[in-house]
Amino acid sequence: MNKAVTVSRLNAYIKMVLGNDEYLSNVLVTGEISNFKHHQSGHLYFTLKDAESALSCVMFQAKASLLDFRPEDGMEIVASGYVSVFERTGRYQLYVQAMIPGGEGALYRQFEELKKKLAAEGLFDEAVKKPIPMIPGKIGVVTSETGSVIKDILNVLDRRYPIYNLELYPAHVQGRGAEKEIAAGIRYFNRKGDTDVIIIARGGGSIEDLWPFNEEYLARAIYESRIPVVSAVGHETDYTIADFVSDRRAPTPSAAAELVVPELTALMDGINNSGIRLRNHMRALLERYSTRVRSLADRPVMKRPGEIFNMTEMVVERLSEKLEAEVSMLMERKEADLKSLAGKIELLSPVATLVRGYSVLKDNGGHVITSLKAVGTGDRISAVLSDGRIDCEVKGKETKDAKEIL
Amino acid sequence: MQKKSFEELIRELEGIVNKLEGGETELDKALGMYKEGIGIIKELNDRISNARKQIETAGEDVSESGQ
Repeated sequence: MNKAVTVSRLNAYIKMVLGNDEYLSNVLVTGEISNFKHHQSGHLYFTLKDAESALSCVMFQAKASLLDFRPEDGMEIVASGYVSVFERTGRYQLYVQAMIPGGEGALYRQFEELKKKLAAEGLFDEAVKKPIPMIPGKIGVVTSETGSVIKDILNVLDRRYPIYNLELYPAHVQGRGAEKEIAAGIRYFNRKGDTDVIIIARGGGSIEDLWPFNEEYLARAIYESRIPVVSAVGHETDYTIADFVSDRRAPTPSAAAELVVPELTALMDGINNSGIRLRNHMRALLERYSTRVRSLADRPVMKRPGEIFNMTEMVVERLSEKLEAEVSMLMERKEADLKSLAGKIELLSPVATLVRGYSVLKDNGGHVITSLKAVGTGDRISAVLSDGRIDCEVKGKETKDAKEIL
Repeated sequence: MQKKSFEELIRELEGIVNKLEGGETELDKALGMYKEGIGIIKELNDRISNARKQIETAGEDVSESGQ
């Protein structure tokens, strides 16, 4: 038989068991208020009941002061909170964190109101949604460390893109304060700065389970993230505020994983294809250039450059012919001039004078006699004619002007 | 000095050939232009065959793993 324990130890144990229950850590309860007491301290004590059952509730002053309505007996409300044990009395009760008037429909109204408010502020605008990178360097995941969600994500990544780089930020995804933990994960990745895309995910659950994803606090954190956020909350049919504000909604965690990475094999094929197309394009481009150069190099002026100078050559030839002709004409003319000069010169020679009937007198010594005074009577002299010499003897002389004798 | 682009060189060559065909008859000028043209053709052909080699060697990796 088991050993007996004290009452306080049993109560402490029960409190621990309840505290460990995830469902009880954040539960939404709808019911009618009765036995309502507003204590002096500001705490509220009341019972929630329906047709068959009742539940003790307490709402502490810090939370109660945030209420925007006055709870009273007979009022239908929805309360959210956690279940724990008040050890002194051994009574379990609901520790209410928040409540809204109205039945279950009120919860949807609250959801709709927040949705409307955030939409009006522009948090859902397509224009502010960041594109999901096609090939992420590093993927940040905010979800529970245990459970199927992270496993599903890793499975998809392993199959689809085995070279992924993933960092998990472990966070509670349901229960009290879960929205704060998830928001902290988003901020953590933003602070670190080495992450290209963030997935916030949790599996399917009741509306209460998904409630942290409907909190304004988380919506703001998603909106403020500089890194694109993909939400994957619950099943395909569940829509949360987080889904509207995130940059992309995935219907399931697996779908989120598919969304943030490309299929590696397809990617490789695409790269190779681009490489081949690139090369073909470069070849064609070179072919075109090569043809252009060849057609220029084959133009006659480049092929037979000598022809460029044919015209010049002809001009030079004609000029040289002309030059030659001019020169020879000039030579002829000069020759003729020379001949006529030679004739003139001949006319001036003494021999020619002799032919015309003149003669030259010379003395014995061969000196030309130009005056009577040079000879005396009886001197032997000679007269030179064009065709010979006559020896003479001076018989006498008479001084007289030659003009008168001739 | 910055290396002239392929396109620039081709346009220069076109200009030279057109001028020569248009009857540039001044001997020194024509000869200079002809020599320049031949030089450009050589440069262009060198560049083309160099580029061709580069494409083929750079492409080897692609075609090997492309199957």
